[in-house]
Amino acid sequence: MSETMTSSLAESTQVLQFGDAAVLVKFIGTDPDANWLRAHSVARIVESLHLESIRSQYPAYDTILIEYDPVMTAGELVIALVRRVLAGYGPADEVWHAEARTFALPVAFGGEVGPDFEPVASELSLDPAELIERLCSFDFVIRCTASSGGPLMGTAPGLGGLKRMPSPRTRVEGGSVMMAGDQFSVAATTSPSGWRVVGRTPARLVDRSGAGDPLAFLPGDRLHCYQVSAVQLDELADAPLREWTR
Amino acid sequence: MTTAQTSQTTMATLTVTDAFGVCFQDFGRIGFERYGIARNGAADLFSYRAANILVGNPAGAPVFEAIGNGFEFRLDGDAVFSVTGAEATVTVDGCGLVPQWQPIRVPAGSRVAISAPQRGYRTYVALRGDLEVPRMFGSVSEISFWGQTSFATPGMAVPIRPAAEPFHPERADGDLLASLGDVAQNWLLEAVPALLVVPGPQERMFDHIEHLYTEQYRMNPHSDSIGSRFNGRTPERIDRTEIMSRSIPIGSLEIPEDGEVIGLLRGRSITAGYPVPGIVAAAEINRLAQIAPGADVRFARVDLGEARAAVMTAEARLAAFTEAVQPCAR
Repeated sequence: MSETMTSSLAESTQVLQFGDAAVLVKFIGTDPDANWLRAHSVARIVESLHLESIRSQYPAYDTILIEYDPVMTAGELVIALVRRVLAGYGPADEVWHAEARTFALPVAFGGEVGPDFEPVASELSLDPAELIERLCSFDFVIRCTASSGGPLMGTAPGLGGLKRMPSPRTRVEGGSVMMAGDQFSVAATTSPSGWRVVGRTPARLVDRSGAGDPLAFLPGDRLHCYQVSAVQLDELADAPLREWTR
Repeated sequence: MTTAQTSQTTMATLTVTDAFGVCFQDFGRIGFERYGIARNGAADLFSYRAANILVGNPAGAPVFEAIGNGFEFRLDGDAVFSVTGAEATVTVDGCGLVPQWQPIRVPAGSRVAISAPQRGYRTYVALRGDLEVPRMFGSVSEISFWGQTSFATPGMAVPIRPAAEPFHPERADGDLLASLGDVAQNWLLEAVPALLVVPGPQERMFDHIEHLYTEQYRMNPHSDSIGSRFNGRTPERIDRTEIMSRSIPIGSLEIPEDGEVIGLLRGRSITAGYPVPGIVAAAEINRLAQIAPGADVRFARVDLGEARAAVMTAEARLAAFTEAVQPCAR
């Protein structure tokens, strides 16, 4: 990696003390996709160091929260460590992203399972078939995970700027396919939500057994929606995610 | 109380006889945030760690956490237990008053009752050995979205897998433990504590930030394991710039609207978009967790050096407990 690239990454990154047991790394470059990829790549490097003094590293959209044990180390040492990681950062650190998978996401749109589908279509000035077509012709990149285990993604072109519910629903079923603002998501478990519910997927995103990985996906993986009927929703209930084949 | 060597190898069972808001706790789940799984675990880690130290358990062993209420249980075998955290009345068989912050041996058939807190909010009860309770992703703590609750309910029978090594509570220096316990409780359960707060990255998004450090706040009953909520005169948010969701530390203070301050505990969501004007110092989160609804708190703005001194002081107190129970394992 050239020296100019190195210094530009250092310049487009803020490393801030955040309380007495955490540091926030913020990627402030102009390209949101690049910021996201750097946040997730740098978090992987920090994790691979297996330092006892680092408790966890959580990358979101353009940040990493690094929590450390304040008995074992100090913020300035963690900041210095991050600066060193940034200085040595190169294209090889982003190779993991090439292994991202694309999963097929069966979705029944509208009706009882998607009460906000028609209002969303009219808010976007699209007829229902057009909205389905747009949602089913885009690879949604999973950016990070919401509190309940649902994947958070940016929305497809032309489907942004959506209002949230004026008052959040107290109960949104697990599997609900939701939109809000410029974001797209699937509720992994039944929970309250102010997002607009446009459909439901029967696919199993969460492994509740506690035996394997808790989630079927990782940040960087993509979801490709395809339409199924309400009947298929039952037939496919709890089906594991499978990879999308064109 | 008796010393029965043989009992160390037989499995005892604890039967919960009275419990409301009592749950199993440990350090929670570390490293599962990427799956959307909150940290959770004991809100007052100091008292949690002390409870295990006092019965010679490894760090990370499950304990009972009683929040704002009493807790009673019966033991069908010889057992050693400790009660830390909030100040409560602890009795064995309805009369024998026993001290907190000490290992206590009781014979089979004993009934142990811990009153609702007289000072503080959360009591911790550790039993020598390993409580056999369900774990998910390495922790016994609650993970409700994933189907595991961690409540100890009346009638529940909890097997206690015995520790490999014998432990002799009567060999500990009781006077030393009593004074260490006093010091710990006076720190943890101070009336109207001034919790040490390190300034946060969004301090400048507020006008009158000084209110946070001059006003007194009262905890409201909507508090839970996600956060303790307080009412009082708050700084005003003047910068309304949207903040892209990011993860924020446990202990973060949020001011979602004028007049309310939330101090985040270990059940906090993974990501949040509220500005953070300050973060309760790591050692002080134990004290935050001991404030009860209706009680008052103040916040004191400190630098990292003072926060570090508080962490080291807490560690020194735990080390003193470890040393004081050394003779029990010999």
